[in-house]
Amino acid sequence: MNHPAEHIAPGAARCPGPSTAEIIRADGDQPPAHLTVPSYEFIGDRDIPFARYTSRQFHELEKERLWTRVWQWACREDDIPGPGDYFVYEITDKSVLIVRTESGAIKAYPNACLHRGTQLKPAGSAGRSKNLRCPFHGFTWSLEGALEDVPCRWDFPHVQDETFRLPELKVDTWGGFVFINFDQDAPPLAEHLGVLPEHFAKWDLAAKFTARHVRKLLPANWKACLEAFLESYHVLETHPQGVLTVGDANSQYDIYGDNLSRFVHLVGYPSPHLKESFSQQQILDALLGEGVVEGVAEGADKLRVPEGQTARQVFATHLQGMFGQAYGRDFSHLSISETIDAIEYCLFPNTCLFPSLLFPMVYRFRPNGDDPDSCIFDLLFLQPVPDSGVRPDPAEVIELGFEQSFHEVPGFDPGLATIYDQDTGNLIGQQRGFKSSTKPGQTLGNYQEVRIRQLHQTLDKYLNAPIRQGERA
Amino acid sequence: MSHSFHTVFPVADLPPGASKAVQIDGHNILVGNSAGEFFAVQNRCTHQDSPLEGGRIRNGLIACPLHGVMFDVKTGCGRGQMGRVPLRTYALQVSDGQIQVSVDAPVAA
Repeated sequence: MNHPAEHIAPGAARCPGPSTAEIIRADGDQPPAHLTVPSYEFIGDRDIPFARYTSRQFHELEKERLWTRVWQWACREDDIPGPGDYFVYEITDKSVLIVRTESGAIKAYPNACLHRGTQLKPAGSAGRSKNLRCPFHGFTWSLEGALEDVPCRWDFPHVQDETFRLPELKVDTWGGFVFINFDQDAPPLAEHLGVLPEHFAKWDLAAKFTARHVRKLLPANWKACLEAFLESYHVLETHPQGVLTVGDANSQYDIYGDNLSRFVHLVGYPSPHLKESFSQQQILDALLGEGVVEGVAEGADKLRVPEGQTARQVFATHLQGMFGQAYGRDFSHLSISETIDAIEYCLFPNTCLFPSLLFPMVYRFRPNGDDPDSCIFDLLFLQPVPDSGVRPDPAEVIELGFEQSFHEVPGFDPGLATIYDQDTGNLIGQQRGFKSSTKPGQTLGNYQEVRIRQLHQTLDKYLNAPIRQGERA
Repeated sequence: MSHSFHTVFPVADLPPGASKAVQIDGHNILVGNSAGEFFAVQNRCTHQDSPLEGGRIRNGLIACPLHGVMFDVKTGCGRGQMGRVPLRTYALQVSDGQIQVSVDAPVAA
């Protein structure tokens, strides 16, 4: 085996052929400037220990130092549109009650009665109530957290209204997401988000509603599950059906500070692994044949690539028209890249967001309770609110167990279901491999897997932060 | 056999997402509007007897204000461990802009 990368600085090597930025520039339109400005740096090449994915001790450390200190989104604002609407968010063994108060403010309370600790609302529940009444003995708080009622108050002369307010966690919102933080000393959410709001300035996620929500259990550590979606290096092996229509080895990888990373993964451009050359018409036909999202190929039987144009251009124009009709909106201002490419941002610790028309997805990966070997994967499709301004009800969650396929989700595009099944199908093998390996850790590509390394480095910053009072040494 | 329908209130009193309790012949009934479709179910959650009035109605499901147990407003079927026992549903019709509910008419499927 030869070593073509050994003569240049680590991290400097790239897949031969045109870069993603060059291909996007060749589209000849006006993509956002940041899209074609690479933001990569070499941040090391040491192996990542497998124990970080498998050990109970490491999970406990994440519980104490990560999940109780990091900004994390708990629900969508759509989940709690009006006064009294509430949503229960769970992370590891903690439960948080998110409430819309009478004034329209959002509060987050530890989901536990101050009397004997019972959850004020059950795990996984959501709905509307005019107050927060413990279902055990009936201690009741207002939506604003003030003690309102204690049955048999005569027996509690030692309970004072002032000291029996519900404690509050930090709450903030961005893009229609409600973020919470258990840490009262946490820096502001805006600081955590970094350049994300700037990059999404023209892609208002708050103006979208949850058109689909699938929640699937995955048989691997939450980080392994997330990492399966942070690189397109795996496309050739895992999704061989797609190589004619998507880039892979030429994808662009960017990191921004500690909390944010991105890949730009081309659609409508064949994998550089393919040695044959294809006509633009062949590429367009393949794009429409695949149906990356539902209905893509509708009415597209006769689509031709005119002389001098590209499959990317024709596909983008087709999608703008199709989605424009579906949502009663004009998308013709979007660049080709914003229309069809998979532009995926990862916000530390566990969320992926796409500012692109063809990819309405949001991913979130949480530990499955206290099990380091499994994960809860939330997959949301955020679609534009119709021009009428009437927000459709957010979709109810469709739950899939470990053994279930995305093909079982009613209305889910079969091509896309196959891709998610392929992605999630590798995970059990990876988690088991972690435990069987005599090599202590995984070896990452310097460029294509840099987002995974960034994730671990940021995680370490949380785990190595000074211990505070009340935390285990 | 004829069934008696009781006029409860005008359609205009019940916008989408709203629900109001009404007593008919000793039955405590919740009449609600689920995205433009009216329904009538028992106004007691089968889990812990809490009134369902004011519970969130979304995607054809009403969530009990106390525990969040969700029930299909058409069939009465609950979801999850706390929703094992279905709600009773009642026949409902709209006549001259008035919502009418019956406690003895068969419920249309």
